[in-house]
Order: sequence, then structure tokens, then C-alpha cells
Amino acid sequence: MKKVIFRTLQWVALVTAFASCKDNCTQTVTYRGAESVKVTLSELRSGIKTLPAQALENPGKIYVKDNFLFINEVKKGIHIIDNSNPSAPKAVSFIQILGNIDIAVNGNILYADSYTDFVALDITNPNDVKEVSRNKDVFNNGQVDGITWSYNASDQTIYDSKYKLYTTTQEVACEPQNPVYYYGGGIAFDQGLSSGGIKTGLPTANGTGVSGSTARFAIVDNRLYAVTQSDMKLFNLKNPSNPSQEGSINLGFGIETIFPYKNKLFLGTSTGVQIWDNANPQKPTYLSRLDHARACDPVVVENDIAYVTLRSVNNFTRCGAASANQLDVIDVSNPASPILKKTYPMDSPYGLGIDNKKLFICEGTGGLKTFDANDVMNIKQLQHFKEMNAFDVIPLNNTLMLIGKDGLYQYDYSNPNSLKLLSKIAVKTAS
Amino acid sequence: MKKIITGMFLLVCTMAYSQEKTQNSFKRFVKENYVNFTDIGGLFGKSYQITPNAIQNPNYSYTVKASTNFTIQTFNGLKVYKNLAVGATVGVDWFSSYQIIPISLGIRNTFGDIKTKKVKTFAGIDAGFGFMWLNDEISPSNEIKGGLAISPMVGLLIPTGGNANFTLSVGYKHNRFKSKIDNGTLDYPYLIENQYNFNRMAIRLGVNF
Repeated sequence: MKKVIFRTLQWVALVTAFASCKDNCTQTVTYRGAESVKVTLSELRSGIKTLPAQALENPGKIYVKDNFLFINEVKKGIHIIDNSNPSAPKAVSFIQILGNIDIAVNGNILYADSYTDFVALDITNPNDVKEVSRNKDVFNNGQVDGITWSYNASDQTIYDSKYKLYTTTQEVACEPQNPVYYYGGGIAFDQGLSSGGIKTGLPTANGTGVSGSTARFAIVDNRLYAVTQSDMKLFNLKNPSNPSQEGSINLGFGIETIFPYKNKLFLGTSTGVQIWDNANPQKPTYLSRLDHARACDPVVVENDIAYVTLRSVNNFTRCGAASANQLDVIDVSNPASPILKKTYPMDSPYGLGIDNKKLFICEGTGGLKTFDANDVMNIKQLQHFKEMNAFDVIPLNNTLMLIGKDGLYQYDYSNPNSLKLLSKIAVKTAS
Repeated sequence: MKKIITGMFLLVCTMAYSQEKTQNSFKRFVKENYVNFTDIGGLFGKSYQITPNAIQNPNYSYTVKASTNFTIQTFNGLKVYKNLAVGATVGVDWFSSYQIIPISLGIRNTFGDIKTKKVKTFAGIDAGFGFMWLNDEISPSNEIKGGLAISPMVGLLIPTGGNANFTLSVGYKHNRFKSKIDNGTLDYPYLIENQYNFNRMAIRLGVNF
């Protein structure tokens, strides 16, 4: 009898022990989030220094002036490259400018934004760049690479953030009954720099240079137009080393790029293309707009034909939830009423550039595509380079300068059917 | 010459005969020592979750859900020493979201006189790898990888009257596997890695012969 009770107890103990079994499931999420960064005005205004040449890390916009190539290092400064021989570009120096995104050069004066400020730098000696003037508190906020910064005047601090890779691990239900949607605790961002069209064939007369497609700065006849998300700021460059702000025009929202063409200004916005009459450079007036679905869209113009790329993005933070990836060809011979001529499908277009009917379109991770645009109703793809992550190009005098996440590439496009790689400056790989 | 041919003929005959003999004895060995355990049963446990809400706000927490899942398996082996059988176990464990096919090396030991008509006890363990072959309808960004499957058990053998027994067993079942969902892009990595560890009590009914 005792034995039976003992046996029974044994079984009961066994079952009880197993009955407390718990599943154990963990979820590890690795995502890119944002970490906040604060910059005080005193830090900002003591930050401009000329440093020895540095490797590219996170390149942004590019700008060409004569034999010099300027590559923005996002929010850190500007690389100055001696590009007199595109086959062997030489890094000269690095100008440290906090919060710098955009560049424009007129003569020997380089204009740059530095978070809130608009600074003018004397680059006569690229190894010893001097700050010659500073317009303070011009910009209140900005957005690059999907990250928005803003200036808080009450505590004189700039609130910015930077990307960081986060890894979180937590215990989760082993058997979810419903589909589970995951949100990364941080902020999800749109890809890439502010979209841009490439501005090409801009006259290098007047001593100004040529900017890449993502430019928000444009110099026309001693005036610099700087577009922010919502406004156009005008600077008078009569005295180049001491630009003075002449006014500000409200443009709406989602302004991305500015492209001067003849006496018009073409603005790429997230809802369409705006055309402004610049006959009176002091006071541009609104002419017309061509709307489209919300998308990131740069614009370039050549021979009264505007080329606009639309890139869909998979979140709402930057350009809205667009569904289109395409190239629009617009007849702007009558700028007061632009006409959409034709639409070509694209993969994920970023910046574009055109030079003498040779069209170059960056496809982000999809690389670079070259097109023959002699007949706008029948634009033919010529080549597709897939090896780079391209977002901005400048085609100028048969040298195509292409900036991507992985570095600067230069191609000879004298034969548009077969581009020749001249040189590459690679981005420093994370060690 | 003749001698050599005769010799070779005899040799070949001997080889053929001995081979036949080995085959027969092997077949007989298999027949005499074959052991099969086939069970169906349930896996009982708690699908556990600690939610962030429960940590941040202890007044608002989720109850821990009980979870019962179905399992089948069959052990096929050979008695190698006394009543100890060694073989392979193949089965299916149906969890709510995932199904696992564990293929294991198993042993079963029956205690007591094998010929007796009384209830006997047995113990066994299966250890192997759980394959996820039944979860092929997942998106391309989703990757699923099987893992360890281990299941020790003790049970009763209840004679049916013939050569077979009914079995009733209780044991522990551990299944683990990983899933990986990559929703990110090159610039915007977004990777979800899930590690699933199922710990369950297994109660099974079956037959043994």
C-alpha cells in the first residue's frame, strides 16, 4: 500500500513539475534611430577652421568652381578637392563648418550655411580659409538626410539629431494571435539627402560655380537665392565678402531645390514644380506650378524642357506617401503654363543632370543611368552602372561628377554611349 | 588449371552462401528486436509574455496565456542490449504559428520482464533537430531556422493481450528555433530576430510493439 502511495506521489510530482513549463521567446530588433544632438550658438560660431584634407565619411552635396570641387561632409564641413586633372583629383583641405549642407561660390568667396547662419568665406588660399562675414539667425530649421534640426531662440540652442544603430531585446509572446506590427522606438526616416534635380549648364561666367542637383543655393547676377523648407531667402552679393539679406519670400512647404534657368527660377517641391519669374531679381514673382502626386522631386531645365524625377518613399516623414517612381518631361516654353509631355518609369530616382541632351539619372542604390534625350518623346536608356549608390551628379564639360554614399566618381562622357571611369574617391569605410 | 577453376567456383559458392546466411540472420535480428512506439498527444504550457506595459504600469498587465498544442511522433528502433532500444524518432509538433518536424535519435528502455502481462514502465529520450519544413509560406524577407528538439519521457506500458502495449507517457518537450525578418534597406536597417524556446509538458497516448 505504501508503495502504491509513493508511486502515485511520484507521478503527481512529475506532472506538477512539467505543468509549470513556460515558453520563453525573445525578440531582438536592430534598427536605425536618431540620437539627439545639441549645439549652442557659441559652439557654432567658433567652429570654422581649416584642417588638413580628410577622408570622405558621409558626403553630401557637390559644387564645382573652376578647377576646384567642393564636397559637403554632411553637417561637418566642406572637402576642397583640386580637380584640375579629373583622372587624379587631389584633396587639398577640409573646412570645418558645423551644420553645413549647402555651398555656392562666387569669385573667391564661398557661401555656406551653418545651421542658423549664412557665412561667407574667403577661399583665395584653400589651405587657410577665412571667415569674412556672417549673417546670423537666417535659418530657423532645416532637413537633411531625413533629419530635421531646429533652432530654439529662447535658449540659443540648435536641436539636431543623428542616426544611430539601436539594438533592443525584449521578451515577447511566443504565439502571437494577430499579426504584429513593429515600430522601431526611434524615428523612421526617409532615405537620402533632400532630393534634388541636377542643375547643369549653369553659366560659370560671373565667377560662380556649378552646383549639384540637390542644391538649395543658387547664384544669379549678384544675388544668392537660398531656399529653406518654406521660404526663399535673398542675399545681395554686390559686396561679395559681405552679403546682405534682402528679404524672404514665403513659398509654401516642402521646398527642396532651386534651379535658375534664363530669367526664371524653377523650384522642386514635394508637391510639384513651381516656376517663378526672376525678371526683377530683387523680387521674384510667382508664375505657375505643375502639381503631381506627393513625391521627392528634383528638377532640371534645358532648352525649355524641364526634367523632373519623382521618387516614391515608403514613409511620410519627408516627401509624403508617393507611389510613383518616374521621370516627367515638361514643356516650359511658356513658363506661365507648363505642359507635361511624357512620363517614363524609373526605379528610385534621386538627382539628375542634363548636358546637351545627355541625361544622367541617379537611382540611389540602383546606381547611375544614362539616357539619350534628343527626342523628349522617346528618351532612350544608354547605360546602367549598378555598382555605386548614387544620389547627385554634375555633368560639366564632358566630365560627369557623381556623388554617392560610397564616394565620388568621375566619368568622361564625351562618348555618351560608353562612359569612361576617370577616378574615384572612396568613402572611408568604418573601421 | 582445372583445380584452380574448381577452387574459385567453390569459393564463390561459399561466399554467396555465407552472404545469404548473413542476410537472413540480419533480417531475423531485425524482426526479433524491432521496437516501435507511436504516440499522439498534447504539449501543455504557458505562452509567456512580459509586456513593456506590465513593467511600466504594474496595474495594467496581461495574463499569461495557457497554450496547448498537438503532437505526434513515431519511434522505430532495435533492441541492442537487454530491453534497451535505440532508433530514430520522427514527428510533428503543431504550434499555433509554426509547425516543427523534429528528427531525433532516440532510446527507449522498458523496465521489468518483457514477457509479463502486467503493467510495466518505460523511459526514453529523443534528442535531435527540429526542422521547419512546414513553414514555407513565408515572405522572402523572412528567414526561419530550426533548432534543438529534446524530449525525455517516462510512461506506462499496458498490455493489450497480444504482443503490443498501449502506452501512456508524461514528459518534457523542448523545441527551439529562430526567425529573422529583414524589413530594412541598406541605409535603413531594420532587422527583427526572434528566438523561440518552447518548454512544454508532453502527455502522450500510443501503442508499442
